[in-house]
Formats: sequence, structure tokens, C-alpha cells
Amino acid sequence: MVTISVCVGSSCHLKGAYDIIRVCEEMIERLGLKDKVELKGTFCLGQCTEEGVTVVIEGETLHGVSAENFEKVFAEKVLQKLTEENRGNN
Amino acid sequence: MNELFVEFAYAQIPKWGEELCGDSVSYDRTRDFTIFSWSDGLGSGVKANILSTLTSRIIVSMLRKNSPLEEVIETLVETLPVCKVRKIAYSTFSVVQVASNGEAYVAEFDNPPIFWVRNNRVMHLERHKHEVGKKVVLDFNMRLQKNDWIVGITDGVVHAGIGGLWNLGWRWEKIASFLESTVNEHMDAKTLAQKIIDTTRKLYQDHVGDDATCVVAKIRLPRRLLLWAGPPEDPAQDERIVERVMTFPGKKVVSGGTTGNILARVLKKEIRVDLNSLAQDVPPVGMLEGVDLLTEGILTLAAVLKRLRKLQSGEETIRGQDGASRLLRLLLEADEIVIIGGRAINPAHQNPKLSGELSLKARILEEISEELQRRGKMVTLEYY
Repeated sequence: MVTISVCVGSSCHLKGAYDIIRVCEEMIERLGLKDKVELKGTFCLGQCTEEGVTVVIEGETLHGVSAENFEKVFAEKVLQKLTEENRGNN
Repeated sequence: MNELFVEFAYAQIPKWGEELCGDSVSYDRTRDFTIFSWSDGLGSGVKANILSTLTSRIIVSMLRKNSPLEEVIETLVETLPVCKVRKIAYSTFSVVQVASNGEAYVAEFDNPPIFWVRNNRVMHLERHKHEVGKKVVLDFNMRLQKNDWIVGITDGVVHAGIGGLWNLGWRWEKIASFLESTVNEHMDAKTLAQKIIDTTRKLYQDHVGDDATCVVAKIRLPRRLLLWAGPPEDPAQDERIVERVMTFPGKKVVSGGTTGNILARVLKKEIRVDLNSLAQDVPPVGMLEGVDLLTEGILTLAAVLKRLRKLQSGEETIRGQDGASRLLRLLLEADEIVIIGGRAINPAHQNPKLSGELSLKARILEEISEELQRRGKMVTLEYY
């Protein structure tokens, strides 16, 4: 299980948190990862002055996330972690 | 804080063919009491409307300043314009003044007697004659308690259906029985006033013979709400404010990400974000045990203000599950609202790229409280 927390505070909302959540929901659905990825929102993480939206994936805080680059972030961070988990299980 | 709250509403219908109702209702509320007055002007249409508006407004504004009744009536006699046709200046009135402890004063002049409903019974009232100049005013004091109702009507209601469905009209006694079988604890003042006026219209078979007005005061406990929006300037105050919020006797709302995080930290609880409340223009709400609502701050508050401004009276039913709709719904349901604003500066709000949207939160809170006061809410705004 991989947990993605998207900041939904004021700044991140203005910088596109809403769109990221939509894109993420759509990807989880499309890739059939409902049981493997948990999408959560989180209140302000105090990273407001950083670029882009703040997203935390398995404890790792990422800045500068946007709806445009989210697919890439998802592939690099989430899919990779899932692959690692799978290997570990085998 | 007030002990009892007077929920006030009225409904009216003008005489058939008239645009304006010749009856007028005035209402005012201060920290110590609620006062309302209704008046039936001589004749109908615009002339009656002016007479009754002057009457009810003068009464409310003078009694509010504690002027004695004699003085109020003298002022009325001297102020009301004299009707050219009838050569008199005339308008009936009733006035009810209720203190927050339930003590009430009522004065009546030529209006049908008020109804006092308690435990689904219309109670008897001992009225005193009070001569002021040539006019005889009936007045009395009473002690109201929770779940009491005061219902006032003008003679257009008493006469409903006269010579038609009823030989003698609806009549005071029958209206009293109607109230006894209709009033219940879960009904609000507006619904009851509207029921009386709807029935009046039916009895007149839509051909309303006289201006008809029904005013209703429901005595109940006030619905209180505390809105905490923004961390205090001095972080040492955090715990004190959290305690104030958690022990508040009423609904508790926290608005702001950092504010919510302070609350969660002090209470050692976790905020869960409800992604189902996601909306394009308003960030989602959070859930935290012990508070009724937890929202994002500035954007949600700005949306609440924008919607409040657009809201017409009468369309107070807010649908929608986003943070702003939920907050607005709670604010409109409340009678007494305490808003705690924080003076701490959010560094993120200093970002010039965002400054358009993230304008001063204090300004928004002030405007929200002004809008709520305009809607008859008691609002206290405090800053830390």
C-alpha cells in the first residue's frame, strides 16, 4: 500500500491541488490500483512558499507538483514503490 | 450571554387589488431585549401603508430608547398625517418588548388581542386599561419561558371569510383553537406565520377583503456558534483558545489549515480530509472529533462572504456539501455567533503571486459579521 497525501491548504488549492486530486483519482482508476494506492488530502503542511503543490508520498515531501507533471511523479514515485513492494513479497 | 432567544417572523397579504399592504411590522433587537410592533393603517394601499409604517417604526425606536408609553403616543398623535377624507390620523398598534430573561411588556391599541400559547393552550391574559389622552391602551407585563409563543394578528385575519365561508369571519376564538392544534416545538416562527396567512387567503377564497398580517415570536434557547479563524499572534495563547473553543456551549467551527493543525496538535487528534467535499472553488473540509466543521481558511471565508452578499432573504436554504456551503448553513442557523480572528501573519499570504486572492482575512471576517448582523444575528468579533 502506497499513501499519497495532497495538500489542500489555501495556497496549494490556488496552485492546482484540485486538479491533481482529479488526475490522481483518474489514474488510480485507470491502472486498477484502488487496493494498492490510498489517496488522501491534508491540511496545510506549512510549505506554502515553495513552488507548486506539495504532495507527500510515503513520507517523502515533494514540492512543485502540478496536474501537468503529476503523471510523471506518479510513475517515478508510486509505481516504483509498488514494484519494490512486489519484489519484496516474492 | 442571553438566556432566552426570541425567534421572530411575520407574513402578510395585502387587500385584493392593492400592491402595498396597509399593515406594517417593525422589529429590533439589542443585547438586552427584542422589540416588535405591528400596525394597521386607516384605509388601504399607500396611505394606510405610510400611516402604519410611521406608527410601528416610531414605537419601536422610541421604546428602544426607553421612552415612556405616554410620550410615544403623544409623538404618534402629533406626527401622523391627517387623512383628508376622514379628517383623522389613525393607525392601530401593538407592541411587544421581551427582555433576555423572558420578562415581557405588551401594549395594545385597537388591534385584535395577542395570543399567548404555552403547552398548546392559549393562555388568559389580564389586561390593564391605560388612558393616554383620549386613547385607551391596554397593557400588561408577562413572564415568558422556553417554548412559549406570542402570535399577533391584524383584523384582516380575524375577518377572513366574512359573509362568505364564515358568516362572521374566522374569529379570534377559532384562530385560538387553530393555534392550539397547530403549534409544536419543532415548527419555526416563519412557518406558523405563513400558515395563518395561507389559511386567511383560503378563507377569503383568494379575494382578500382587508390587509392581513400575522406576527409570530417563538421563545427558545439561542442557537450559538463559535467560529475560530486564524492562529493568535502569540503562540502561547494557542492552548487557551483551544480550550475556549472546546468548552463553548454550541456549535464549533474552525476555519484555516494552520488553525486546524493547532487544534489537532493541542487535542492530540488527527485531521482527516473529506475528499468528497472537493469543489473547484472551495478546498475540501476536514474532520476532527469534537468540532462540527473544519474548513480551509481564506478561500472558504471569501466564498462564504460572496454567497452571503448574493443571498436574498427567504432563500436561506443552502444546499451543497463543499466547505463554504456547510459553513454558511451553520452561520445562518445560528442566532448568536462569536468569531475569534487570529492576528498571526501567514507568510504564504505575502506571496505577491497570490496576493489578489489572499487579501486580508480580518477584512473578510468583518464583512461577514456585518452581513450576518444585517440578517438579525448577534455577532461578536474578537481578535487575539
